[in-house]
Amino acid sequence: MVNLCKSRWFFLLQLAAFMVLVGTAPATASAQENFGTVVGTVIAEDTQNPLAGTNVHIVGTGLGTLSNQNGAFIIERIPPGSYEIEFSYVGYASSTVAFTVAAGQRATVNGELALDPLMLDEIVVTGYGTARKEELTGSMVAISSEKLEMLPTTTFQDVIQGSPGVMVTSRDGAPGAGFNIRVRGIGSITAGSEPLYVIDGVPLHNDAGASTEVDNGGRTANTLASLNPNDIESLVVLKDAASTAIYGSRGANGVVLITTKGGVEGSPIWASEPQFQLRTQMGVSGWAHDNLIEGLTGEQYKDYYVSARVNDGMALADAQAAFASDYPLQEDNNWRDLTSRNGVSKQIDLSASGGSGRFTYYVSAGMFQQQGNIIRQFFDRYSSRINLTARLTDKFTLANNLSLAQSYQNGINDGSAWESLIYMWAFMPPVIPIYDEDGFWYHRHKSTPRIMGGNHPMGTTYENRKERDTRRVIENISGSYRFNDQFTLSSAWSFDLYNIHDDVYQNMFFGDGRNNSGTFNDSRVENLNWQGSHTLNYNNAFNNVHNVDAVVGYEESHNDRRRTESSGNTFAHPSLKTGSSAATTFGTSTQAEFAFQSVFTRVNYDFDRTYFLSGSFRTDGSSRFGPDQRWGNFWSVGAGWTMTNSEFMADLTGFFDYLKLRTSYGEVGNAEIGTYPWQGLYGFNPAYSGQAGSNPSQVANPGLTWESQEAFNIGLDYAILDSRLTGTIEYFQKASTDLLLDVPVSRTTGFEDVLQNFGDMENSGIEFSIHADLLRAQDYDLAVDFNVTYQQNEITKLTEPFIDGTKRREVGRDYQEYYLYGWAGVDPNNGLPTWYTDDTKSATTSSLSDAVRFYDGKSATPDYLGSFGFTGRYKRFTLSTLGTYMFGHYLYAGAERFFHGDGRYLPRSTSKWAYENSWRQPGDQALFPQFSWGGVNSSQPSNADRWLHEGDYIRLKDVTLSYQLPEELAGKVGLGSLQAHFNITNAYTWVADDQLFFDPEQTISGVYNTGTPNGRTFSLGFTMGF
Amino acid sequence: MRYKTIARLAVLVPVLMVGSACTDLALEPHASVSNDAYFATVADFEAAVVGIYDEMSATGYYGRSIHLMSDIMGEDIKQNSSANRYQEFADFEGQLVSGHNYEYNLWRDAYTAINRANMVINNGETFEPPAALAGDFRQLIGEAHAVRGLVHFDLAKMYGQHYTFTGDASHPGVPIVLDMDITALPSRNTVAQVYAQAISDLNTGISMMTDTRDGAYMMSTEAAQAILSRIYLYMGDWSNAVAMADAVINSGKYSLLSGSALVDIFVAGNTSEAIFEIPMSADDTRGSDHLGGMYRDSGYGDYLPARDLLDLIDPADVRWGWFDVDGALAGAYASHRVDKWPTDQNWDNVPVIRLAEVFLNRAEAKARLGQDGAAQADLDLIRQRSMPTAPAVTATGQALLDEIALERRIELGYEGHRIHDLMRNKQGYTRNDCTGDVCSMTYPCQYCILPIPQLETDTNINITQNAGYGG
Repeated sequence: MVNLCKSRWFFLLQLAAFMVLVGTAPATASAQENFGTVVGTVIAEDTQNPLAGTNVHIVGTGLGTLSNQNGAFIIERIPPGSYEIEFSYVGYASSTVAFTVAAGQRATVNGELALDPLMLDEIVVTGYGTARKEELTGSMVAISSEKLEMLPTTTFQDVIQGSPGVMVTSRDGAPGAGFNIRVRGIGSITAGSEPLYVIDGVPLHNDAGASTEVDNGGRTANTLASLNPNDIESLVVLKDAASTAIYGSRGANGVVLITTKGGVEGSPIWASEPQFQLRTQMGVSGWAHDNLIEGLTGEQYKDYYVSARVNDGMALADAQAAFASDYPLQEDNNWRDLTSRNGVSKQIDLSASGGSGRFTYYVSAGMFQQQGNIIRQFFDRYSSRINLTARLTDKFTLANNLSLAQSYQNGINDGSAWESLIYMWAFMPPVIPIYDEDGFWYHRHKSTPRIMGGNHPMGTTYENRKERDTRRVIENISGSYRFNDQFTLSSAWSFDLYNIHDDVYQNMFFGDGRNNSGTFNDSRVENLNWQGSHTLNYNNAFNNVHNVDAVVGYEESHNDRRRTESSGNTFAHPSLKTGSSAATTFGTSTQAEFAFQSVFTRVNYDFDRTYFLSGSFRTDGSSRFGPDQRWGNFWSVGAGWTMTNSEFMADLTGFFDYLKLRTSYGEVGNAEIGTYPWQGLYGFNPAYSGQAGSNPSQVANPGLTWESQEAFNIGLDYAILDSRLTGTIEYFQKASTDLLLDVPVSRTTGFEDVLQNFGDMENSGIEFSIHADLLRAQDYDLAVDFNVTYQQNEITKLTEPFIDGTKRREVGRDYQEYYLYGWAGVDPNNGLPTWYTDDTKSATTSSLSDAVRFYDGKSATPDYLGSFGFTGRYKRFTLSTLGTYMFGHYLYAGAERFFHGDGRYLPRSTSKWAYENSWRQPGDQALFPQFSWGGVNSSQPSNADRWLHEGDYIRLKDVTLSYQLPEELAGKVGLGSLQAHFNITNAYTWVADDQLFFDPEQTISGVYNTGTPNGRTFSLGFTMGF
Repeated sequence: MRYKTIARLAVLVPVLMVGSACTDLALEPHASVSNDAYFATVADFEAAVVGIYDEMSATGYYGRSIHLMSDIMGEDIKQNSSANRYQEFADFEGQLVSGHNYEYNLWRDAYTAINRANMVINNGETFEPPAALAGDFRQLIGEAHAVRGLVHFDLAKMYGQHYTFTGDASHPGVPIVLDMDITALPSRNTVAQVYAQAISDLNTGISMMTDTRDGAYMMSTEAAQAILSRIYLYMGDWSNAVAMADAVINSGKYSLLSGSALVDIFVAGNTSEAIFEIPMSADDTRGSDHLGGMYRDSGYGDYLPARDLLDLIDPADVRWGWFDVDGALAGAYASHRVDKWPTDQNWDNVPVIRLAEVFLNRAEAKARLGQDGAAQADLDLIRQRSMPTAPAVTATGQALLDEIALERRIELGYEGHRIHDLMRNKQGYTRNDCTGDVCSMTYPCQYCILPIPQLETDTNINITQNAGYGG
């Protein structure tokens, strides 16, 4: 047994056993019975037109089909008896009709569905199950596939932006780059704060990649980009405890449930027609934010250089001579323009879906190619998916979802480093030539004057290589056995296998590779996550009013990440870039594992679809915690009351078409704390004089426990004015306790910080959303959406306050509140910088040593965020827009102390903004001190509010105009349907601060990371049905 | 039906649950060993001692910072046009340039080395080595002690005023740390206490070490004695300085280099003159972040030798080989570069202490004791090995001390001595060949020592900042 267990493939045996047990008996059980048949058509009540694609299902059986183009359906092989048939179609209220069928007979049942703008019957995906929208007691956002299909976007994460309570920011505008997503505020400090992503029941890992060189510190890494957004049927963001507690220790940051498309079941007589779809899109992009950092012209740079020398005491003639000597050849280059381009993107997706008999399928293949707006940046993805479901018997269903994706990516150096191209835009003197006399990139400035570590914007970018190649296979095989109407047992086994291959080459002429005659780093990550999940579902209705739906489950998972790296240096020829040609090579490899074991349950009860109760519980065990703290319990309770269904409320609720109050409370956890954080460890990185050494690498903390979060939610769903106005208002409060923190310790201990359960924090807020159907008519309609989230963060317990970069964490304050030196401007008399001595701002000093950092009520946490938009249709034209906004937060641009240089970084250049606003003579009301070679003391420190900006912005994220060609016309060109759509992403951006020389979408921490700015893309696409 | 359902469930559920036995939650890391399982063999101690040396070789410590900062505060260096790194110390700005963290990195690396030594020493107290390995084990513990003494001394000289700044050295030094305590918030010991600890540890080391395990690359009895000769010199304890220098010189294990061997002293590595030095190899991949990279054209090249020193060197002196002319340096920046660490890949060794210094330590101590003849002999030995034509030194008294000081400047230039020699002799200077903002220094000098790093003062309420660096 033990040996079997050690085999990773043991579960296959289990699965085989499962199939044998459940798969055999029922097939024989029903073979000799006689059957009846039911036929009919389904129409829409408002238009009296047939509804093609209506889900037709015989309640309490596995029998069902879809209506065809004429709204007709047929279901065969029905055991004789009395049944209810249920018709459902998105946007319409479900309808149930009773019928009786005898053996060998054919019954006729027609359906007529009424429009239902509330879509209460819509089935939404929840953790380990589904629910009708009206049953929900928890808080979630559901996003349908339509939003994903039109956008020329790399990843689905883009589409979550603007959802109430969810903050999404792109960390980097590079193609394939990562996102930061925070559901209802920052729930953690040191542990992860990103939500859990679950695709078709498989938790995904968002790996940082194999090499930090490629991903620029994690910003450009996004293994979720391997998922083709077009394959996604629905996205659901779970926000409160009632929704997430069933994910226990991994639910605290919210959960994003992704469901991929499936086929549609046909009937034995006619297969549902295969739906072929071809989608193409082409786009071209520029910068989304027009006011990006600008460098100097050659003439300006010369003036900057010479006047700084003169101000530093050099004679004018000497200064000019020094300039001429430093720059024997002079050009006038705009490095930003020279390294930017209009990136072109292309996309083709082909899919087929359908079903026949007991078998349904969805098959797709996609290609996506995107160039970045900076030379050499690109992201290409090739993906395919096969989703199959086979109802082998009436009771036994087997499903298999398999996706394969491969992506290629080349990045550039951005972020904060001399090698960063964004730095060079401002810093690289414009007078430096592009080419030298041999036609190669100019590199005399490597030696004198020594600028930017010998980098050259073109030389570094063109000669370096930063490639990432990702392959990901997600396989999910599941079987479910329906014992009877009440009990269903399901078992699902999944793998998520990905490989990341990072290939970095730094050339022998420019930048960091030059001292080593070129360096390479070739690293690979292989990650295998397997999970087994087994659930038993029970649902039953008593007396037609007591509905019970319960699930109990067991789950285990194991993750194994292995990384190998080879690196080296010293190449003999510039065209050589791989390790075999390097004179010196090194190799290393690492492995890390973690495992979870869990038992969970959830019970939903409702009384007559009016009063709803839910409860969930999960016990998680994780290898990440010490033996003393290995197991944690998580739970939630929720309740809902559809007031408009209560007779006695009729007087009060008469104004409302729908009014539902729901509330929930629970405790969830956060296990994203790294792999072995509790153990005292000796590491073996040191090497000295060719001998291997060891060092104390981690301080023991066996009491380290889960971060847990107590979350409260109360919400009201409403609909008024004939359901033309609908929406939700919600209040949430999340109290995070036992927050893990790398608590800084005295460095005399030999450690910089120690992970401890150190503090408590509270996030609270109000989410308000409204949808208004302003116009509804045959030929046109117009709907408007708006939502706003008001959120607050407060540290409620902290053993000691501490400074963390630009922030200081203290009880009673926003976690993200800045703690900085206060800039008091340039002294008009002498051009020297002045600083407030303290938070009273009553006195100033020109010496930073006499000033202290202080709070100024400015935080990186936005007060308000949300989105707005409208969708208008006129006949076959549809125009839709989505805008997002954030207000009340501040962005800290640490790089500006370099970019807006006043001479400290000479002979490096400076920004046009600093150049034009510097102090020149007494009396000048200047923004920047006088230029001086070597800089002015106390002028350009970090952690100063000189570099703080109002972050408020409004961005028109998406404008899409689409046109649906009439079917007759489409038919003439051999197509079933044709839709054309024109789209602009990031069409317009408004920022409050006109000195914001970078994109307003930055990291959650508000710190500008000098990444690639976001792009504005114009694209044209066609969707063809066959 | 109901019975069948229950029967099926009864079979299926256990089958699926068997998986529960399969996931082991007690996973151990692959690249580390739990503390409980470490220090179980002499080999564990040996690796842990290697870990101490590794930390000493970090860029923040002997890899670059400690020598560089000690020299750029002196007058023998000028800034290149691109100088930016460490500039706050070269110009005595008296404030921290955040983002640089040089004062922090040295502090962190030094105390990390101390902690690694403490782990070895303290775990060694309860460890019983096999009899056959008892000597090896004592050697390892001895090395840990001696290194811990050296690191405490290094910290005191960088973050505290020199020993003779007050009559009883009661001015603030650095915290003495002898135990691993993650919650400790130590206050500063006096310089006298830190020196006493350093001397005690070095002597403990001397009493335990019997071996030279890896040439000059690891601590040895003679290395500890040589360091003690410097410590006593800094304290003005001349006779002990002489005694320790004598012990090293009379051990007969070392000899002075001459000619091209002297020029290449840090390229060759582990020479007959090396007593304790930090080896750099390809594995360290320091690139420009090596001490040599701060001087060399192929590195950052931020700092250049000042004519103040170059003009003192006789044209016939072999030690001109430690400089080379860079034609690309124009105007005030002309004309030389320091080339003591000349290898392009920057893997030349960095000295901690070498025989020439021990002779100069002894010369100075003897001159202070009035033994001018013996002092002249030691000085001649150093001077004439690089310039055989140099006349024998005849100066006596203060003039002899000046000659010895001059020789230290030339011989030990850029090896981290200058500011400490100035301070202990209570001397200021004028930088004649000056390209920075500050061209003179007067003694006493509050900015000639480093500030306590802000990250320390932020977390450790018991630590006091040095004068002039704010609260």
